[in-house]
Amino acid sequence: MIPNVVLEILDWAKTKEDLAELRYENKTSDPPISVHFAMSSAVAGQSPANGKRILYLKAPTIGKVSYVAEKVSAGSMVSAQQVLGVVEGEKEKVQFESPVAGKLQEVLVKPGSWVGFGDPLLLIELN
Amino acid sequence: MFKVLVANRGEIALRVIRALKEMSIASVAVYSEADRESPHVALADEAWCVGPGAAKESYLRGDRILTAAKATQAQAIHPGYGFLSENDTFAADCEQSGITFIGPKGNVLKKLANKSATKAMVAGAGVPVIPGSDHDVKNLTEAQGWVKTLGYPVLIKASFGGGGRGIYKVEDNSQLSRAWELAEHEARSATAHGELYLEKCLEDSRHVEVQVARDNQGKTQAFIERDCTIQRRNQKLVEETPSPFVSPQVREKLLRAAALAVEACAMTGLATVEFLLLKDLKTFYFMEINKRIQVEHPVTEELLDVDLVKLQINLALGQAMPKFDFPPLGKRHSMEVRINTEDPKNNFLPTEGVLSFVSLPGGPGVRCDSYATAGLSVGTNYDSLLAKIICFTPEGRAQTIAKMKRALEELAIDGVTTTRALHQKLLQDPIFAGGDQWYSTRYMGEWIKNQNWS
Repeated sequence: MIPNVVLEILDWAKTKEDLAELRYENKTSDPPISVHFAMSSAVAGQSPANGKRILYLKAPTIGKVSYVAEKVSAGSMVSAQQVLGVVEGEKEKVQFESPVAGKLQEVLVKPGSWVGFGDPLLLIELN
Repeated sequence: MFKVLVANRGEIALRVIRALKEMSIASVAVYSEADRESPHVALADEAWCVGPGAAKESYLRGDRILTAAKATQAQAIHPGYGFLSENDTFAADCEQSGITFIGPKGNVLKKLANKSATKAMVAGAGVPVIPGSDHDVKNLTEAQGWVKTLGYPVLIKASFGGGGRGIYKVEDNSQLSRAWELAEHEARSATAHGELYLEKCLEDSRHVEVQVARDNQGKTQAFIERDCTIQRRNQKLVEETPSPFVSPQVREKLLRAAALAVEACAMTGLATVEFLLLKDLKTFYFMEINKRIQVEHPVTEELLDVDLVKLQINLALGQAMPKFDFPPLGKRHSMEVRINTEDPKNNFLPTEGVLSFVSLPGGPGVRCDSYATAGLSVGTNYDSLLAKIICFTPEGRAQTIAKMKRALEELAIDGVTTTRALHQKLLQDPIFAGGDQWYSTRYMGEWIKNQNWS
Protein backbone atom coordinates (compact mmCIF):
# COMPACT_ATOMS: atom_id res chain seq x y z
CA MET A 1 0.00 0.00 0.00
CA ILE A 2 1.34 3.35 -0.96
CA PRO A 3 0.94 6.00 1.72
CA ASN A 4 -1.50 8.78 0.82
CA VAL A 5 1.20 11.38 1.00
CA VAL A 6 3.01 9.75 -1.89
CA LEU A 7 -0.14 9.71 -3.99
CA GLU A 8 -0.65 13.38 -3.18
CA ILE A 9 2.88 14.15 -4.30
CA LEU A 10 2.23 12.21 -7.50
CA ASP A 11 -0.92 14.24 -8.09
CA TRP A 12 1.03 17.43 -7.65
CA ALA A 13 3.94 16.18 -9.71
CA LYS A 14 1.80 15.33 -12.71
CA THR A 15 0.91 19.02 -13.04
CA LYS A 16 4.60 19.88 -13.39
CA GLU A 17 5.57 19.01 -16.91
CA ASP A 18 9.14 20.23 -16.56
CA LEU A 19 9.89 18.05 -13.55
CA ALA A 20 12.44 15.36 -14.38
CA GLU A 21 12.73 13.59 -11.08
CA LEU A 22 11.70 13.91 -7.50
CA ARG A 23 12.95 12.43 -4.22
CA TYR A 24 10.91 12.21 -1.08
CA GLU A 25 12.15 10.94 2.27
CA ASN A 26 10.51 10.79 5.63
CA LYS A 27 12.55 8.77 8.10
CA THR A 28 10.30 9.47 11.05
CA SER A 29 7.13 8.13 9.49
CA ASP A 30 6.03 4.58 10.16
CA PRO A 31 7.13 2.89 8.03
CA PRO A 32 9.87 5.27 6.86
CA ILE A 33 9.30 6.47 3.30
CA SER A 34 12.02 6.92 0.79
CA VAL A 35 11.02 7.22 -2.84
CA HIS A 36 12.54 8.45 -6.01
CA PHE A 37 10.21 9.26 -8.86
CA ALA A 38 11.61 9.35 -12.32
CA MET A 39 9.11 11.46 -14.22
CA SER A 40 9.87 10.07 -17.63
CA SER A 41 11.22 6.82 -18.95
CA ALA A 42 14.32 8.66 -20.16
CA VAL A 43 15.36 9.06 -16.54
CA ALA A 44 14.97 5.38 -15.76
CA GLY A 45 18.55 4.46 -16.46
CA GLN A 46 20.08 6.97 -14.08
CA SER A 47 22.26 6.12 -11.12
CA PRO A 48 20.32 4.53 -8.31
CA ALA A 49 19.12 6.74 -5.51
CA ASN A 50 19.02 5.79 -1.90
CA GLY A 51 15.32 5.08 -2.09
CA LYS A 52 13.45 2.83 -4.44
CA ARG A 53 13.40 3.89 -8.06
CA ILE A 54 9.77 4.12 -9.04
CA LEU A 55 8.36 5.07 -12.36
CA TYR A 56 4.74 5.74 -13.06
CA LEU A 57 3.05 4.82 -16.24
CA LYS A 58 0.70 7.41 -17.73
CA ALA A 59 -2.55 6.61 -19.53
CA PRO A 60 -1.86 7.00 -23.27
CA THR A 61 -5.35 8.37 -23.89
CA ILE A 62 -8.70 8.94 -22.21
CA GLY A 63 -10.85 5.84 -21.91
CA LYS A 64 -11.68 2.64 -20.13
CA VAL A 65 -8.85 0.49 -18.83
CA SER A 66 -8.43 -3.21 -19.31
CA TYR A 67 -5.39 -5.32 -18.55
CA VAL A 68 -4.09 -7.90 -20.94
CA ALA A 69 -1.08 -9.19 -19.06
CA GLU A 70 -1.94 -12.20 -16.93
CA LYS A 71 -0.96 -10.71 -13.64
CA VAL A 72 -1.29 -7.00 -13.28
CA SER A 73 -1.26 -6.64 -9.54
CA ALA A 74 1.09 -5.33 -6.92
CA GLY A 75 4.16 -7.53 -6.66
CA SER A 76 4.05 -8.91 -10.23
CA MET A 77 7.27 -8.81 -12.18
CA VAL A 78 7.15 -7.17 -15.60
CA SER A 79 9.68 -7.05 -18.37
CA ALA A 80 10.62 -4.10 -20.54
CA GLN A 81 8.20 -3.48 -23.43
CA GLN A 82 5.74 -5.97 -21.97
CA VAL A 83 2.23 -4.97 -22.98
CA LEU A 84 0.23 -4.61 -19.80
CA GLY A 85 -3.12 -3.38 -20.96
CA VAL A 86 -5.28 -1.21 -23.13
CA VAL A 87 -7.09 2.09 -22.74
CA GLU A 88 -10.14 2.11 -24.93
CA GLY A 89 -11.81 5.33 -26.00
CA GLU A 90 -14.65 6.11 -28.38
CA LYS A 91 -12.63 5.49 -31.54
CA GLU A 92 -9.27 4.26 -30.38
CA LYS A 93 -7.69 1.41 -28.46
CA VAL A 94 -4.24 2.27 -27.18
CA GLN A 95 -1.95 -0.30 -25.59
CA PHE A 96 0.36 0.58 -22.78
CA GLU A 97 3.51 -1.28 -21.92
CA SER A 98 6.06 -1.25 -19.18
CA PRO A 99 8.95 0.91 -20.35
CA VAL A 100 11.34 -0.96 -18.02
CA ALA A 101 11.79 -4.28 -16.31
CA GLY A 102 10.71 -4.23 -12.71
CA LYS A 103 8.12 -5.03 -10.10
CA LEU A 104 4.63 -3.55 -10.01
CA GLN A 105 4.57 -1.48 -6.88
CA GLU A 106 0.95 -0.41 -7.07
CA VAL A 107 -1.92 -0.71 -9.54
CA LEU A 108 -3.88 2.50 -9.32
CA VAL A 109 -6.87 1.65 -11.49
CA LYS A 110 -9.11 -1.38 -11.86
CA PRO A 111 -10.19 -2.98 -15.13
CA GLY A 112 -13.23 -1.02 -16.25
CA SER A 113 -12.06 2.23 -14.62
CA TRP A 114 -12.18 5.38 -16.69
CA VAL A 115 -8.93 7.31 -16.88
CA GLY A 116 -8.05 10.71 -18.30
CA PHE A 117 -5.20 11.34 -20.72
CA GLY A 118 -1.95 11.13 -18.72
CA ASP A 119 -3.48 9.82 -15.50
CA PRO A 120 -1.14 7.49 -13.59
CA LEU A 121 -2.05 3.83 -14.10
CA LEU A 122 0.71 1.87 -12.42
CA LEU A 123 3.77 2.41 -10.32
CA ILE A 124 6.70 0.26 -11.35
CA GLU A 125 9.73 -0.29 -9.18
CA LEU A 126 12.79 -0.59 -11.38
CA ASN A 127 14.97 -3.66 -11.15
CA MET B 1 -28.73 15.67 -11.51
CA PHE B 2 -28.41 16.81 -15.10
CA LYS B 3 -24.81 17.06 -16.26
CA VAL B 4 -23.27 19.00 -19.14
CA LEU B 5 -19.76 18.65 -20.52
CA VAL B 6 -18.16 21.88 -21.74
CA ALA B 7 -15.98 21.10 -24.76
CA ASN B 8 -13.97 24.29 -24.76
CA ARG B 9 -11.45 26.35 -22.81
CA GLY B 10 -10.68 29.95 -21.87
CA GLU B 11 -13.27 32.58 -21.19
CA ILE B 12 -16.13 30.85 -23.02
CA ALA B 13 -15.70 27.67 -20.94
CA LEU B 14 -15.98 29.83 -17.80
CA ARG B 15 -19.03 31.60 -19.23
CA VAL B 16 -20.82 28.30 -19.88
CA ILE B 17 -19.85 26.71 -16.55
CA ARG B 18 -21.14 29.80 -14.74
CA ALA B 19 -24.50 29.48 -16.52
CA LEU B 20 -24.67 25.76 -15.64
CA LYS B 21 -24.00 26.48 -11.98
CA GLU B 22 -26.76 29.07 -11.86
CA MET B 23 -29.09 26.51 -13.45
CA SER B 24 -28.11 23.83 -10.89
CA ILE B 25 -26.69 21.67 -13.67
CA ALA B 26 -23.49 19.71 -12.96
CA SER B 27 -20.53 20.69 -15.12
CA VAL B 28 -17.65 18.71 -16.61
CA ALA B 29 -14.59 20.49 -17.98
CA VAL B 30 -12.18 18.96 -20.47
CA TYR B 31 -8.67 20.28 -20.85
CA SER B 32 -5.39 19.72 -22.64
CA GLU B 33 -2.11 19.15 -20.85
CA ALA B 34 -1.23 22.80 -21.55
CA ASP B 35 -4.36 23.94 -19.70
CA ARG B 36 -4.02 22.03 -16.42
CA GLU B 37 -3.87 25.26 -14.48
CA SER B 38 -6.43 27.11 -16.55
CA PRO B 39 -9.34 28.32 -14.38
CA HIS B 40 -12.09 26.40 -16.20
CA VAL B 41 -10.55 23.19 -14.86
CA ALA B 42 -10.98 24.35 -11.27
CA LEU B 43 -14.39 25.96 -11.75
CA ALA B 44 -16.16 22.89 -13.15
CA ASP B 45 -17.48 20.17 -10.86
CA GLU B 46 -15.12 17.69 -12.49
CA ALA B 47 -12.40 17.92 -15.10
CA TRP B 48 -10.85 15.43 -17.51
CA CYS B 49 -7.66 15.71 -19.47
CA VAL B 50 -8.28 14.74 -23.10
CA GLY B 51 -4.87 15.15 -24.70
CA PRO B 52 -1.70 17.14 -25.22
CA GLY B 53 -1.50 20.89 -25.81
CA ALA B 54 -2.04 20.83 -29.57
CA ALA B 55 -5.74 21.47 -30.21
CA LYS B 56 -5.77 18.80 -32.92
CA GLU B 57 -4.98 16.20 -30.25
CA SER B 58 -7.27 17.57 -27.54
CA TYR B 59 -10.04 20.15 -28.03
CA LEU B 60 -10.56 19.10 -31.64
CA ARG B 61 -10.67 15.38 -30.83
CA GLY B 62 -14.40 14.77 -30.89
CA ASP B 63 -13.87 11.10 -30.08
CA ARG B 64 -11.90 11.87 -26.92
CA ILE B 65 -14.42 14.45 -25.81
CA LEU B 66 -17.22 11.97 -26.37
CA THR B 67 -15.27 9.44 -24.30
CA ALA B 68 -15.08 12.02 -21.50
CA ALA B 69 -18.85 12.53 -21.74
CA LYS B 70 -19.40 8.79 -21.41
CA ALA B 71 -16.90 8.47 -18.55
CA THR B 72 -18.77 11.17 -16.62
CA GLN B 73 -22.25 10.20 -17.84
CA ALA B 74 -22.86 13.73 -19.08
CA GLN B 75 -26.20 14.02 -20.89
CA ALA B 76 -25.27 17.02 -23.02
CA ILE B 77 -22.23 18.75 -24.53
CA HIS B 78 -21.83 22.50 -24.90
CA PRO B 79 -19.22 23.18 -27.60
CA GLY B 80 -18.68 26.93 -27.00
CA TYR B 81 -17.31 28.68 -30.10
CA GLY B 82 -14.53 27.56 -32.44
CA PHE B 83 -13.19 23.99 -32.04
CA LEU B 84 -16.10 21.54 -32.54
CA SER B 85 -18.92 24.07 -32.31
CA GLU B 86 -20.01 23.79 -35.95
CA ASN B 87 -18.67 20.32 -36.66
CA ASP B 88 -21.53 18.32 -38.14
CA THR B 89 -19.82 14.95 -37.66
CA PHE B 90 -19.30 15.63 -33.97
CA ALA B 91 -22.89 16.81 -33.53
CA ALA B 92 -24.14 13.65 -35.27
CA ASP B 93 -21.85 11.44 -33.14
CA CYS B 94 -23.27 13.04 -30.00
CA GLU B 95 -26.82 12.43 -31.18
CA GLN B 96 -26.00 8.80 -31.95
CA SER B 97 -24.63 8.33 -28.46
CA GLY B 98 -27.80 9.77 -26.96
CA ILE B 99 -25.99 12.92 -25.86
CA THR B 100 -27.59 16.28 -26.60
CA PHE B 101 -25.34 18.55 -28.65
CA ILE B 102 -26.11 22.11 -27.51
CA GLY B 103 -26.31 23.57 -30.99
CA PRO B 104 -28.06 22.85 -34.26
CA LYS B 105 -28.79 19.29 -35.36
CA GLY B 106 -25.96 17.46 -37.13
CA ASN B 107 -27.81 17.25 -40.45
CA VAL B 108 -28.51 21.00 -40.39
CA LEU B 109 -24.86 21.77 -39.65
CA LYS B 110 -23.86 19.52 -42.51
CA LYS B 111 -26.18 21.32 -44.90
CA LEU B 112 -24.89 24.71 -43.74
CA ALA B 113 -21.21 23.81 -43.83
CA ASN B 114 -21.07 24.99 -47.42
CA LYS B 115 -21.45 28.77 -47.34
CA SER B 116 -22.28 29.28 -50.98
CA ALA B 117 -25.06 26.68 -50.70
CA THR B 118 -26.32 28.43 -47.54
CA LYS B 119 -26.34 31.74 -49.39
CA ALA B 120 -28.48 30.23 -52.13
CA MET B 121 -30.91 28.85 -49.54
CA VAL B 122 -31.23 32.23 -47.81
CA ALA B 123 -31.66 34.05 -51.12
CA GLY B 124 -34.48 31.62 -51.87
CA ALA B 125 -36.33 32.93 -48.81
CA GLY B 126 -36.27 36.44 -50.27
CA VAL B 127 -33.39 37.80 -48.19
CA PRO B 128 -30.99 40.03 -50.17
CA VAL B 129 -27.55 38.39 -50.43
CA ILE B 130 -24.19 39.84 -51.51
CA PRO B 131 -23.99 39.74 -55.31
CA GLY B 132 -21.75 36.88 -56.37
CA SER B 133 -21.61 33.41 -57.82
CA ASP B 134 -24.76 31.68 -56.65
CA HIS B 135 -22.92 28.36 -56.19
CA ASP B 136 -19.38 26.99 -55.92
CA VAL B 137 -17.10 28.10 -58.75
CA LYS B 138 -15.38 25.13 -60.39
CA ASN B 139 -12.26 26.67 -61.85
CA LEU B 140 -10.41 29.81 -62.86
CA THR B 141 -12.20 30.02 -66.22
CA GLU B 142 -15.58 30.06 -64.52
CA ALA B 143 -14.25 32.61 -62.02
CA GLN B 144 -13.16 34.87 -64.89
CA GLY B 145 -16.69 34.65 -66.27
CA TRP B 146 -18.21 35.70 -62.95
CA VAL B 147 -15.79 38.60 -62.59
CA LYS B 148 -17.04 39.99 -65.90
CA THR B 149 -20.54 40.22 -64.45
CA LEU B 150 -19.55 41.37 -60.96
CA GLY B 151 -16.68 43.74 -61.71
CA TYR B 152 -13.60 44.22 -59.54
CA PRO B 153 -12.81 44.15 -56.67
CA VAL B 154 -14.05 40.65 -55.83
CA LEU B 155 -13.52 38.29 -52.93
CA ILE B 156 -12.62 34.65 -53.35
CA LYS B 157 -14.02 32.77 -50.39
CA ALA B 158 -13.62 29.20 -49.24
CA SER B 159 -17.05 27.55 -49.29
CA PHE B 160 -16.14 25.65 -46.13
CA GLY B 161 -14.18 28.47 -44.50
CA GLY B 162 -15.11 30.48 -41.46
CA GLY B 163 -14.09 32.94 -38.80
CA GLY B 164 -12.98 35.48 -41.39
CA ARG B 165 -10.35 33.10 -42.74
CA GLY B 166 -9.82 31.79 -46.24
CA ILE B 167 -10.81 35.06 -47.89
CA TYR B 168 -8.78 36.56 -50.75
CA LYS B 169 -9.39 39.98 -52.20
CA VAL B 170 -8.69 40.53 -55.89
CA GLU B 171 -8.32 44.08 -57.23
CA ASP B 172 -7.82 43.41 -60.91
CA ASN B 173 -7.31 40.83 -63.64
CA SER B 174 -3.57 40.53 -63.07
CA GLN B 175 -4.12 39.18 -59.54
CA LEU B 176 -6.94 36.76 -60.24
CA SER B 177 -5.12 33.59 -61.22
CA ARG B 178 -2.53 33.86 -58.45
CA ALA B 179 -5.18 34.61 -55.80
CA TRP B 180 -7.29 31.74 -57.08
CA GLU B 181 -4.34 29.38 -56.69
CA LEU B 182 -3.59 30.60 -53.14
CA ALA B 183 -7.22 30.47 -52.07
CA GLU B 184 -7.64 26.95 -53.41
CA HIS B 185 -4.47 25.81 -51.71
CA GLU B 186 -5.48 27.34 -48.38
CA ALA B 187 -9.02 25.99 -48.60
CA ARG B 188 -7.71 22.47 -49.28
CA SER B 189 -5.18 22.49 -46.48
CA ALA B 190 -7.51 24.05 -43.90
CA THR B 191 -10.72 22.13 -44.48
CA ALA B 192 -10.05 19.24 -46.85
CA HIS B 193 -12.59 20.91 -49.13
CA GLY B 194 -11.19 22.96 -51.97
CA GLU B 195 -14.48 24.57 -53.02
CA LEU B 196 -14.49 28.31 -53.57
CA TYR B 197 -17.08 30.92 -54.45
CA LEU B 198 -16.95 34.52 -55.58
CA GLU B 199 -18.47 37.62 -54.16
CA LYS B 200 -18.49 41.26 -55.12
CA CYS B 201 -16.20 43.05 -52.65
CA LEU B 202 -18.32 45.76 -51.04
CA GLU B 203 -15.57 47.56 -49.22
CA ASP B 204 -17.42 50.64 -48.17
CA SER B 205 -19.77 48.78 -45.87
CA ARG B 206 -20.35 48.05 -42.22
CA HIS B 207 -20.59 44.67 -40.52
CA VAL B 208 -23.97 44.42 -38.82
CA GLU B 209 -25.24 41.13 -37.40
CA VAL B 210 -28.41 39.89 -35.78
CA GLN B 211 -28.58 37.37 -32.95
CA VAL B 212 -31.41 34.93 -33.48
CA ALA B 213 -32.81 32.12 -31.35
CA ARG B 214 -35.25 29.48 -32.53
CA ASP B 215 -36.94 26.72 -30.56
CA ASN B 216 -37.67 23.18 -31.75
CA GLN B 217 -41.25 24.16 -32.57
CA GLY B 218 -39.97 26.82 -34.95
CA LYS B 219 -40.68 29.93 -32.90
CA THR B 220 -38.04 32.52 -33.76
CA GLN B 221 -36.78 35.48 -31.78
CA ALA B 222 -34.42 38.08 -33.24
CA PHE B 223 -32.51 40.50 -31.01
CA ILE B 224 -31.39 44.07 -31.73
CA GLU B 225 -28.39 44.14 -34.06
CA ARG B 226 -24.72 44.21 -33.12
CA ASP B 227 -22.28 46.36 -35.05
CA CYS B 228 -18.84 44.78 -35.55
CA THR B 229 -17.37 47.21 -38.05
CA ILE B 230 -14.13 47.64 -36.10
CA GLN B 231 -12.11 44.75 -37.50
CA ARG B 232 -8.59 44.03 -38.58
CA ARG B 233 -8.12 41.49 -41.36
CA ASN B 234 -11.66 40.21 -40.83
CA GLN B 235 -11.05 39.69 -37.11
CA LYS B 236 -13.42 41.66 -34.89
CA LEU B 237 -11.88 43.89 -32.24
CA VAL B 238 -14.80 45.97 -30.97
CA GLU B 239 -18.51 45.15 -30.99
CA GLU B 240 -21.43 47.29 -29.93
CA THR B 241 -25.20 47.39 -29.84
CA PRO B 242 -27.28 49.04 -31.11
CA SER B 243 -25.47 50.10 -34.27
CA PRO B 244 -25.10 53.90 -34.45
CA PHE B 245 -25.91 53.59 -38.15
CA VAL B 246 -29.13 51.58 -38.08
CA SER B 247 -32.46 53.41 -38.00
CA PRO B 248 -35.54 51.85 -36.36
CA GLN B 249 -36.99 51.22 -39.85
CA VAL B 250 -33.88 49.43 -41.11
CA ARG B 251 -33.65 47.54 -37.80
CA GLU B 252 -37.08 46.11 -38.32
CA LYS B 253 -36.10 44.91 -41.80
CA LEU B 254 -32.78 43.49 -40.59
CA LEU B 255 -34.39 41.53 -37.78
CA ARG B 256 -37.05 40.16 -40.09
CA ALA B 257 -34.45 39.18 -42.69
CA ALA B 258 -32.39 37.41 -40.01
CA ALA B 259 -35.41 35.44 -38.81
CA LEU B 260 -36.24 34.47 -42.40
CA ALA B 261 -32.66 33.34 -43.00
CA VAL B 262 -32.65 31.10 -39.96
CA GLU B 263 -36.03 29.64 -40.85
CA ALA B 264 -34.93 29.00 -44.44
CA CYS B 265 -32.04 26.93 -43.06
CA ALA B 266 -34.24 25.04 -40.57
CA MET B 267 -31.83 26.11 -37.83
CA THR B 268 -32.69 25.62 -34.19
CA GLY B 269 -30.90 27.03 -31.17
CA LEU B 270 -28.76 30.14 -31.35
CA ALA B 271 -27.46 31.64 -34.56
CA THR B 272 -26.03 34.92 -35.72
CA VAL B 273 -26.89 36.23 -39.14
CA GLU B 274 -24.22 38.55 -40.54
CA PHE B 275 -25.03 41.36 -42.95
CA LEU B 276 -23.18 44.11 -44.76
CA LEU B 277 -24.79 47.53 -44.48
CA LEU B 278 -24.04 49.95 -47.29
CA LYS B 279 -23.38 53.67 -47.05
CA ASP B 280 -26.93 54.63 -48.03
CA LEU B 281 -27.81 53.10 -44.62
CA LYS B 282 -30.70 51.30 -46.27
CA THR B 283 -29.22 48.56 -48.42
CA PHE B 284 -28.05 45.46 -46.60
CA TYR B 285 -26.96 42.07 -47.80
CA PHE B 286 -26.81 38.69 -46.09
CA MET B 287 -23.20 37.55 -45.69
CA GLU B 288 -23.21 34.37 -43.62
CA ILE B 289 -24.78 32.58 -40.72
CA ASN B 290 -22.90 31.49 -37.60
CA LYS B 291 -24.31 28.51 -35.82
CA ARG B 292 -22.85 28.88 -32.33
CA ILE B 293 -22.68 31.20 -29.36
CA GLN B 294 -20.44 34.08 -30.42
CA VAL B 295 -17.61 35.88 -28.69
CA GLU B 296 -19.59 39.13 -28.72
CA HIS B 297 -22.83 37.71 -27.26
CA PRO B 298 -22.44 39.70 -24.00
CA VAL B 299 -23.18 43.07 -25.64
CA THR B 300 -26.66 41.78 -26.48
CA GLU B 301 -27.04 40.32 -22.99
CA GLU B 302 -26.19 43.62 -21.34
CA LEU B 303 -28.35 45.70 -23.67
CA LEU B 304 -31.45 43.56 -23.32
CA ASP B 305 -31.12 41.89 -19.92
CA VAL B 306 -31.10 38.37 -21.35
CA ASP B 307 -28.88 35.36 -20.72
CA LEU B 308 -28.17 33.89 -24.14
CA VAL B 309 -26.18 30.92 -22.85
CA LYS B 310 -28.99 29.80 -20.55
CA LEU B 311 -31.44 30.37 -23.39
CA GLN B 312 -29.27 28.24 -25.69
CA ILE B 313 -29.12 25.41 -23.14
CA ASN B 314 -32.87 25.53 -22.49
CA LEU B 315 -33.69 25.51 -26.20
CA ALA B 316 -31.37 22.53 -26.76
CA LEU B 317 -33.18 20.67 -23.98
CA GLY B 318 -36.43 21.19 -25.87
CA GLN B 319 -37.93 24.11 -23.99
CA ALA B 320 -40.18 26.53 -25.83
CA MET B 321 -39.07 30.09 -26.54
CA PRO B 322 -39.75 32.16 -23.44
CA LYS B 323 -41.64 35.44 -23.56
CA PHE B 324 -39.14 38.26 -23.43
CA ASP B 325 -39.81 41.46 -21.61
CA PHE B 326 -37.12 43.67 -23.09
CA PRO B 327 -36.42 47.03 -21.47
CA PRO B 328 -37.37 49.98 -23.72
CA LEU B 329 -34.31 50.73 -25.86
CA GLY B 330 -34.12 54.45 -25.13
CA LYS B 331 -30.46 55.42 -25.18
CA ARG B 332 -29.21 52.08 -23.88
CA HIS B 333 -25.85 51.15 -25.36
CA SER B 334 -23.33 48.41 -24.77
CA MET B 335 -19.88 47.81 -26.17
CA GLU B 336 -17.22 45.12 -25.97
CA VAL B 337 -13.49 45.32 -26.58
CA ARG B 338 -11.35 42.22 -27.07
CA ILE B 339 -8.17 42.05 -25.05
CA ASN B 340 -5.99 39.70 -27.12
CA THR B 341 -2.47 38.49 -26.39
CA GLU B 342 -1.15 40.25 -29.48
CA ASP B 343 1.26 43.11 -29.89
CA PRO B 344 -0.29 46.03 -31.81
CA LYS B 345 3.18 47.61 -32.11
CA ASN B 346 4.51 44.51 -33.77
CA ASN B 347 2.01 43.72 -36.48
CA PHE B 348 -0.29 41.96 -33.99
CA LEU B 349 2.14 39.11 -33.47
CA PRO B 350 0.83 36.68 -30.83
CA THR B 351 2.55 37.13 -27.48
CA GLU B 352 3.14 34.59 -24.74
CA GLY B 353 4.37 34.48 -21.19
CA VAL B 354 3.40 34.05 -17.57
CA LEU B 355 0.82 36.52 -16.30
CA SER B 356 2.77 37.99 -13.42
CA PHE B 357 0.01 40.37 -12.37
CA VAL B 358 -3.67 40.54 -13.24
CA SER B 359 -6.22 43.10 -12.11
CA LEU B 360 -9.52 43.15 -13.97
CA PRO B 361 -11.85 46.15 -14.10
CA GLY B 362 -15.14 46.27 -12.20
CA GLY B 363 -17.66 48.72 -10.87
CA PRO B 364 -21.11 49.65 -12.17
CA GLY B 365 -21.87 48.76 -15.77
CA VAL B 366 -18.60 46.91 -16.35
CA ARG B 367 -18.43 43.21 -17.05
CA CYS B 368 -15.21 41.34 -17.65
CA ASP B 369 -15.31 37.84 -19.13
CA SER B 370 -11.77 36.56 -18.83
CA TYR B 371 -9.68 33.59 -17.85
CA ALA B 372 -6.65 35.70 -16.95
CA THR B 373 -5.32 34.86 -13.48
CA ALA B 374 -1.98 35.73 -11.96
CA GLY B 375 0.58 32.97 -12.42
CA LEU B 376 -1.13 31.50 -15.48
CA SER B 377 1.09 30.72 -18.41
CA VAL B 378 -0.37 31.90 -21.72
CA GLY B 379 0.99 30.28 -24.85
CA THR B 380 0.22 30.39 -28.54
CA ASN B 381 -1.48 27.00 -28.78
CA TYR B 382 -4.94 28.53 -28.98
CA ASP B 383 -6.63 31.74 -30.10
CA SER B 384 -5.36 34.91 -28.50
CA LEU B 385 -8.52 36.10 -26.74
CA LEU B 386 -7.62 36.65 -23.09
CA ALA B 387 -10.37 38.94 -21.86
CA LYS B 388 -13.48 40.74 -23.00
CA ILE B 389 -14.51 43.97 -21.36
CA ILE B 390 -18.17 44.80 -21.80
CA CYS B 391 -19.55 48.18 -20.74
CA PHE B 392 -23.17 49.22 -20.60
CA THR B 393 -24.99 52.43 -19.82
CA PRO B 394 -28.64 53.44 -20.31
CA GLU B 395 -27.41 56.93 -21.20
CA GLY B 396 -26.02 56.56 -24.69
CA ARG B 397 -22.95 55.60 -26.68
CA ALA B 398 -20.75 58.47 -25.47
CA GLN B 399 -21.32 57.48 -21.84
CA THR B 400 -20.60 53.85 -22.64
CA ILE B 401 -17.33 54.91 -24.27
CA ALA B 402 -16.45 57.02 -21.20
CA LYS B 403 -17.06 53.95 -19.05
CA MET B 404 -14.91 51.80 -21.34
CA LYS B 405 -12.04 54.28 -21.05
CA ARG B 406 -12.31 54.10 -17.28
CA ALA B 407 -12.44 50.27 -17.38
CA LEU B 408 -9.37 50.04 -19.63
CA GLU B 409 -7.51 52.33 -17.28
CA GLU B 410 -8.25 49.88 -14.45
CA LEU B 411 -7.24 46.82 -16.45
CA ALA B 412 -3.71 45.74 -15.59
CA ILE B 413 -2.09 42.63 -17.03
CA ASP B 414 1.64 42.16 -16.68
CA GLY B 415 3.73 39.45 -18.32
CA VAL B 416 2.30 39.57 -21.83
CA THR B 417 1.60 42.38 -24.26
CA THR B 418 -2.10 42.77 -25.04
CA THR B 419 -4.28 44.90 -27.28
CA ARG B 420 -5.21 47.17 -24.36
CA ALA B 421 -3.20 50.14 -25.68
CA LEU B 422 -4.85 49.78 -29.08
CA HIS B 423 -8.31 50.13 -27.58
CA GLN B 424 -7.27 53.08 -25.44
CA LYS B 425 -6.09 54.88 -28.57
CA LEU B 426 -9.15 53.91 -30.57
CA LEU B 427 -11.53 55.27 -27.94
CA GLN B 428 -9.81 58.66 -28.39
CA ASP B 429 -10.35 58.59 -32.14
CA PRO B 430 -12.88 61.30 -33.09
CA ILE B 431 -14.39 59.30 -35.96
CA PHE B 432 -14.95 56.16 -33.92
CA ALA B 433 -15.93 57.97 -30.73
CA GLY B 434 -18.14 60.46 -32.56
CA GLY B 435 -20.18 57.69 -34.16
CA ASP B 436 -21.92 60.14 -36.47
CA GLN B 437 -19.49 60.07 -39.41
CA TRP B 438 -19.57 57.05 -41.67
CA TYR B 439 -16.74 54.56 -41.38
CA SER B 440 -16.51 51.13 -42.92
CA THR B 441 -14.89 47.79 -42.07
CA ARG B 442 -11.75 49.08 -43.83
CA TYR B 443 -11.40 51.92 -41.35
CA MET B 444 -9.58 50.08 -38.58
CA GLY B 445 -6.87 48.66 -40.87
CA GLU B 446 -6.03 52.12 -42.20
CA TRP B 447 -6.28 53.71 -38.76
CA ILE B 448 -3.76 51.21 -37.35
CA LYS B 449 -1.24 52.08 -40.06
CA ASN B 450 -1.53 55.77 -39.21
CA GLN B 451 -0.87 55.36 -35.52
CA ASN B 452 2.41 56.23 -33.92
CA TRP B 453 3.10 53.29 -31.62
CA SER B 454 6.31 54.53 -30.01
